[in-house]
Amino acid sequence: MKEYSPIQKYDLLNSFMYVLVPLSFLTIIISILMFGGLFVNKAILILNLLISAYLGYRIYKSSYHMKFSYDRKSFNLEKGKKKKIQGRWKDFDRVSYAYTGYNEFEIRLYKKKGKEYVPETKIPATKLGLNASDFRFEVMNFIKDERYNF
Amino acid sequence: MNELIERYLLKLEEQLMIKKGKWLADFNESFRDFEVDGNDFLMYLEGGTRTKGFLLSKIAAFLLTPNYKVGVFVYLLKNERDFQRIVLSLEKLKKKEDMEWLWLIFLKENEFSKNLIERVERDNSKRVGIGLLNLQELERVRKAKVIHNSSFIGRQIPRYFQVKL
Repeated sequence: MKEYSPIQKYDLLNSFMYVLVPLSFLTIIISILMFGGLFVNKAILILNLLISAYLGYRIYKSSYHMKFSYDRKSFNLEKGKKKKIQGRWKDFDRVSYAYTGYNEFEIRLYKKKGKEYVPETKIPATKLGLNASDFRFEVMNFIKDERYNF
Repeated sequence: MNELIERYLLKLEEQLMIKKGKWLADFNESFRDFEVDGNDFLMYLEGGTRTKGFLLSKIAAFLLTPNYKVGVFVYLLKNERDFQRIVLSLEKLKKKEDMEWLWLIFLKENEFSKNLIERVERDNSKRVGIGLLNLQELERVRKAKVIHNSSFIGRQIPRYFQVKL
């Protein structure tokens, strides 16, 4: 089984900023309340950065970090600690290669329901460090192979 | 599939999804081996005229651009007698899917017949662009002649659908 779980830098930076921005505001408010003005101190700044780095990394790991593994028959996608998607290639009927902006691509898997094709799963290939275009062809072949070897 | 065709499709995808195709529409999804009414298209690119982005871009797009659904179909024309059938099946799909603009690109690895060229050049369907691309010529010559219909949509074909192979 192939496994991919690179650090998703953009999400990591986001998580870091989620902590740093409110923490900086909090520091400013405390400083105004205590000293009646903005008190800039390098030690406080470094402390804020360290807290943000630690908490941001924890938030990233628990909510955003993605792990993806797959073989010829199935795949497993985990996002953070809660969201898990498992699937078998043969359960899907159509594959698409989608551009999500900022040079990122994802692979969308569709299921046929009646006459319509409904998107069921998205695999963020670029974020996972995969070559999205090549991976799309690989998935198309998996689906074809599974269809003919049931 | 032939290596030349695959190379064209990959370059076209790149051109329309992330390069200058952005000026035409926001093409964001590509399907390969797409079937419509029993006809197998090499590729179908789906998109819209309203671009995505952050808040300001979204507001600007909402106020300034119409929300059209657009599509590009690429078909390998092995037999020129299939031409009419393909065009009709896509016009049916255009109505069904409520697509406002549609481009239909026919690929061939040799010359198109004079009859077909005249037929395409005479075509004046307003919201459909039809293009004929000879891949070998496209590979040989940097600016190959692209045959297209005369509508506004059709006239965009040489600029956006001709790629450097």
